[in-house]
Amino acid sequence: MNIILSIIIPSAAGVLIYLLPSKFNKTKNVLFLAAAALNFLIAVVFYGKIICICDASAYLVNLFFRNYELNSFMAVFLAAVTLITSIYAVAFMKQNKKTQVFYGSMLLALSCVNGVLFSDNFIFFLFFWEALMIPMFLMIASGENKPVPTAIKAFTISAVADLCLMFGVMLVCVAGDSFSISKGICELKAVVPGTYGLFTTTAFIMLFIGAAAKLGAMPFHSWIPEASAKAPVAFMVFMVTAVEKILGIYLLIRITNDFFIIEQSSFISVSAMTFGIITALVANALAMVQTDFKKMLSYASIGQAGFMIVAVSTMSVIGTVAALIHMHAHVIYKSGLFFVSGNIEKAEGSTDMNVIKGGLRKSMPYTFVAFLLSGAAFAGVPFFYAFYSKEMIYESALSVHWIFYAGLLICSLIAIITIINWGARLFFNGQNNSAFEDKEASTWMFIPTIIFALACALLGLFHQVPLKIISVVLNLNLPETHSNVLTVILILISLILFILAVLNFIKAYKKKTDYLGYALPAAKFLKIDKLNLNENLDPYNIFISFIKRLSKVLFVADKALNYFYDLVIPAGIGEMARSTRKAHNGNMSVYLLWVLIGIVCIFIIF
Amino acid sequence: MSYDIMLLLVVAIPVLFSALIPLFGKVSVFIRNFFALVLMLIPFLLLIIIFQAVQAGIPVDFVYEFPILEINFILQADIFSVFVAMASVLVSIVVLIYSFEYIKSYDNQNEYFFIVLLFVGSMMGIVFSANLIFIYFFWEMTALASWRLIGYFREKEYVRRANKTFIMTAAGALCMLIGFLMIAEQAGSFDLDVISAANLQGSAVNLAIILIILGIFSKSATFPLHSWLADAGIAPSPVTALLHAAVLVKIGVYVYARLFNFTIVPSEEIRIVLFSIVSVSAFLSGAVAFVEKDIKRVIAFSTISQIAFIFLGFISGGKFAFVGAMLFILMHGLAKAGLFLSAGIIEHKIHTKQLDMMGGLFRYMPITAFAFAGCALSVMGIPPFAGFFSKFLVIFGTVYDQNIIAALIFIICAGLTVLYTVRLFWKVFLGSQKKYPNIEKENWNSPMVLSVVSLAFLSLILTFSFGYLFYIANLAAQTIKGQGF
Amino acid sequence: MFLLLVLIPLFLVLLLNLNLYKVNYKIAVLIAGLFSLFQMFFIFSPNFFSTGLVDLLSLRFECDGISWIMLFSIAIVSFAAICVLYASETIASGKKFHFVNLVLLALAGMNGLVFVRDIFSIYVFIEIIAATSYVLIALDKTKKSLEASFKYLVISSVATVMMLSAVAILFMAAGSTDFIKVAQMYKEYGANPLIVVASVFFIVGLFIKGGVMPFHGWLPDAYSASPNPTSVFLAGIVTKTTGIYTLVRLYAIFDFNYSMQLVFLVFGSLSIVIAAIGAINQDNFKRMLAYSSISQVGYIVLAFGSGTILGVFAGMFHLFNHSVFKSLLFVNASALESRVNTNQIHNMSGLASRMPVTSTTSVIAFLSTAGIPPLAGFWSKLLIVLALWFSGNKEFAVLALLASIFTLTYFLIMQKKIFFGQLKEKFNTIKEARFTIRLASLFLCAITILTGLFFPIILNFMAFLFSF
Repeated sequence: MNIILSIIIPSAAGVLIYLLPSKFNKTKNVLFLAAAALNFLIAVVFYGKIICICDASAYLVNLFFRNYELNSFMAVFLAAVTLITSIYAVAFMKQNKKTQVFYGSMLLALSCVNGVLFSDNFIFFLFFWEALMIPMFLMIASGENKPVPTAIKAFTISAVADLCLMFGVMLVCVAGDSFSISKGICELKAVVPGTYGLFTTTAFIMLFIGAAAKLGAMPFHSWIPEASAKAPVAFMVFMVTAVEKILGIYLLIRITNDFFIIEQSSFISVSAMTFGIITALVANALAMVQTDFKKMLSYASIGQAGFMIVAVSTMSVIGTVAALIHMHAHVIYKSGLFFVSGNIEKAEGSTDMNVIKGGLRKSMPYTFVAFLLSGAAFAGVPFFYAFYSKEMIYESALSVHWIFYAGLLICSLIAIITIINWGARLFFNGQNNSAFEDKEASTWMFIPTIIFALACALLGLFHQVPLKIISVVLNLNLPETHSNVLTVILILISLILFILAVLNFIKAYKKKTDYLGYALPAAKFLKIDKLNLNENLDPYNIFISFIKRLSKVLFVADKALNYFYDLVIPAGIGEMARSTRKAHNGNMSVYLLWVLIGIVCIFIIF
Repeated sequence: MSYDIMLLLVVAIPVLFSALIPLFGKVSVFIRNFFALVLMLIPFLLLIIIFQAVQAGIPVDFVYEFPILEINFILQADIFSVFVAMASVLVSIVVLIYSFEYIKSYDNQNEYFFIVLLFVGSMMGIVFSANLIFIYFFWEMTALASWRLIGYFREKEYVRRANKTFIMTAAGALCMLIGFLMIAEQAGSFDLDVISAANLQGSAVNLAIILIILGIFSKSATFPLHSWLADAGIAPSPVTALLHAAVLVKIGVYVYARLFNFTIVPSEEIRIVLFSIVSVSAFLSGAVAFVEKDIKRVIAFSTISQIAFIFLGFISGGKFAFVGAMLFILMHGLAKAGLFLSAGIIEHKIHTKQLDMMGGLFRYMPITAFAFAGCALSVMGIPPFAGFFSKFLVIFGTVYDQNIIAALIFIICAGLTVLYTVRLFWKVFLGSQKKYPNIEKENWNSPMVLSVVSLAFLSLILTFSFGYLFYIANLAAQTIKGQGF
Repeated sequence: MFLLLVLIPLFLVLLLNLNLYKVNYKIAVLIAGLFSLFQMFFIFSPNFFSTGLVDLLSLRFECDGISWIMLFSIAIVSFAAICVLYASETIASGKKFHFVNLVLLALAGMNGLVFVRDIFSIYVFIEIIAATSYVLIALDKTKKSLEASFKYLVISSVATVMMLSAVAILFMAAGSTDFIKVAQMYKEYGANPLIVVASVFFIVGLFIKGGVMPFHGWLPDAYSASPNPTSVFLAGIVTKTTGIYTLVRLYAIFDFNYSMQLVFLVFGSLSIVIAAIGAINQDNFKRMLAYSSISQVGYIVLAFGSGTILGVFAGMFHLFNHSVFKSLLFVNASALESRVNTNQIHNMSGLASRMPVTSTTSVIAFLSTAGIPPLAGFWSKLLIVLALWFSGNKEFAVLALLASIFTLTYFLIMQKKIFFGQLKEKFNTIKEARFTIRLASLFLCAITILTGLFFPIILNFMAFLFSF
């Protein structure tokens, strides 16, 4: 058989889980884990095999499936993350009807992502891309404390964004005059040698919006923090960190490398980078002022999405590789941190700062170790995986313009401060007197957390290995003229950055207040903390209220038209009828008069 | 029995035998229902047989000359007409089964079934007749049937709205007839093949085309003449499902395609005018649906905007657009009928149509909720449901025929569709958890619920057979006169 | 053979009035009914067209396709009128006896008018019919009907004067009143002013009789005020035979130059539009029907105005259809009046549930009037529009089409007000109309539906009649 299995098996299992009555809970869990494991197996077995399942339906719309290096690498990576998350999910979530729905829709989502990664035909690429929406809706809806409004919000946002993507895909199909992605690519390159006619720019913008929305960039982000509070942790790991980022980066790489050829610092790439940098700055600032650990993590992941957009839109070889590696690193340490937050939530019941009493160092030692490792990677501490990808992003950003590099530096500084602040508050606070009560997470929940934490450390140490794999996967060879003077300077700057953050922490530690140190007054000055609380700054609400006002105006216009049909015309005719009736008043002389007029007219005609 | 006789029977059986329904009604309700169902199933089976013949390329047409005048009664079947006919008969059968239970609690039921069958018969007449006068003949009969069906409940206000519908559609039809006369005068005869052979151009035809389009827009409720459709929400919901979702509005679109994709190629400036009207209609009705307060009116306005999508496909004239629009007719018919029928179930249970009085119905009627969600997703064009393919193809066809602005507007309208459908689903099923004390339990074996579930199931199943549907649509698209390729 | 149709009614009138033995009105009505049925089937007999007994008092009698159609519609309408007469309680039994005699006389007059081929005898028969209709209108001696009959008398006397002078001039010019001779005369000096004045007078006389727009003054009052059977008989056939049928005959005499056509077209469309607007929210049901019959007559005149043979054919077919569904509507009006004993629309509502037959037949009748497909009215209107369109005058065809929207409006309003809506409590005891009225309405409604559905067959038969 071939790669199509990776779509059929998870979806079949998902549907089965939906349909089986709830008394088979145990078997459902086993089925769920088995499906994830099998999917991982398939992805590994079929890694890199160029399989082309051609024309399953021998008509104009043929169902191609190509298995590129990049696709299979992403598929294997996703399969691994899903396997680990499924183990965590089974351990973490209590058995009720909602979790069954969650498992089923997770598997469906998995098959849709596989479908996107392996489909070589634009129609099916879109089909699986948009098919993701329903499982996403169900997954959020299976959370607690009234998740359905957030689910609807997520559904609407991704539906609207996918329509832009659909429009972009249509423009590309028409330009390439074929539906197939691979064939389309080579022709499209020839057709569009960097010329920026209206056609191509709209195509690029639309595709870019679709990818950015999937990544969770700024205007489309507002459902992610809400989902983090309401949806289960496994959703946040699987969907928000893994799937969204993978699909987003996959499409971005396809756009920048395959569909369009855009010079390095042309207008389009610069505007894309500014879009990315703004997202990163705003998201990181918001992350800093969050009071809920999971909300902070979701804003941080939006920030990292900004990082990746900046890296990709430098349109340079190093930028693309950096983005892919950073995506890889980000998924690993962010999942680790989310698992840590899951453990804390399991133990303390909530991850909100003023609810937890802190000082978990003693009661949850292992989770603390995992937090340390993943947190270090998050902060970009040298010899951890994320450090190298961040360096490459800095380099690519610098190659375009120093302002981007400065922006990224500020983001990293804020990130380091936030993670240190949360680390201190959660684990070092010390007021928690019930320190010795062992609330450590159960073994099955703990294993996934520690896997990711160790992965950050190990991949950091042997960072040559992932670099080699990824450059082979992208078959772009890194420019060997890698001037080490530049790298040394970059490393020095990030070290200074790190020291600055620590100093700020120490100063804040003395005052024993909030551990943000200098950052807090700066945040208050910029009124950032007010920013995320009031509702009406949320782009989704602004968009909906604009549509509502516009529709009200049109509704009144339609009513006026209706009024015209209902009342104006009948009244007019009624008036005419009344006048003719009055003329016919029944006395004979009038009738004779008419007869005379009639005769006169006839004579005139004759 | 030759295929031509079969084609005549497809039209004749519902129209002529429907008169027997009231008589059967006097005998017993069951016999009447059974007879009505049989009268619908026979044409469907005949259509399947005819479809095989037409697909194999056998020409199927029934001709009867009139002595002195040059109007002659011609019925012609090609893939496009058989496809549209089967789509509408399929939906009418489901609606008929639904109305067996729905109409039980109301009076003058015989008249209802008689008119429904007359309506489906005249719909078959329009789809197959290849002579302008007989298109007008069956067109007015559908106007008559829709007047009687909308005016089913005898309250004064309802009858006034039915009268308004009848007058608007009749006025439009008269303008269309004037257009037909102009074309017949230029081409020399009322038969479509003679007219297409003459392939008319020039300014005289433009005026005729505008008049015909006025008639078509009045029937398919596009922007300037659409207010009757929203008012017709007061009819019983199987009627709104049959008329406004699946069949009546499709007639206008079908006649547009028959005339302006197969017989006369409209000039460029007319195409631009049509694009603008259709996009205004799509956007306006989408926006109004977003703030409408009555469930039936929301779905009716969404029908108006989805019809604009189908028009978009036929107006842009390319092969992809034609295929997309043709499939859109089927997908939209199924999904929208499902929405109207489930609105009927809701109205039947809680006796109100106001959205503010609904909310939290998910707990009380989960099956209808799932079916409603399925149909809504198919209308929105969300992938696992078949609506996605047709929406993609229609807009892709428009982009393929180089009218990017229209495509962009319709992408925005597609976004609007998502917004108001999600709002509708939220307000009806999920919103504020109201209490419904005396709502009776929803059971599986009521034909109303079954028909809605079957419609949702059909829209899901058609995704997997999309290859075959695409193949048929391609065959039909070979013969269009636009810039096919 | 066809002259029998004139002689039998005269003989019957004699028989009834010789009072050999006490003849109560029931038998008289029965005889009249039988005669109209006899006429209906007699005209289908094979050698109907043979010219027996023709040489009576050296007048030329002929029967061709057009007169055949007239005979058929005369028979149908008179049958309906007699059924209504039988069922109406308001007219005393003595009066019914007189009514029957008058109807038989009018029948003889009309049948005679249809066969006669010279202008003077046309004038004579028109006068016979006019005389009977004066009395028929004033039969129940109410103040309204007397006043209406008086108006009718005065205005049609104007028409008689005009026609007589026209006939005199034409006789003087042509030396004989026969159609053929008059036609030859027209060919030579058609243009000289005296002959033009004569033809104008003749046409105006007929327009007054037919009730075409500017000359229609008497018609609404006559129809609404007259007793039920008279209004059925009058509206159904009398005005059409005396007024419109004779126009067809003139068609053969005058050389139908363009200005004559223009007169027909202008006055036809005038009456269509203004009568339709006049009928819209009319309060008296019969008065509204009177206006609608003026506008339908306008259609027929319009059809003749097109000048082509197809136009005449379409006009005659519409005349036949109109006589059927207009008398059906008047029969329904009488049914309503017999049950609700008022004609005011505003205090009737929701009667459909109590009087199902009347409401369904009235729906079918008004759909046919408005020209909605499955029924006969559609075909005749379509033919008229086609005739007008292909004879060159497109604007009038467009006007005719758009005016049918007005027809539709006022009938929909009527249907809504009378038959739909909530039933008023004082009406929930009323029963369906009496048997004979229901019989008449079902019979007429069946004719409309059959002509509509089996139009091709009828088209063949009519083509044979007009010997195309």
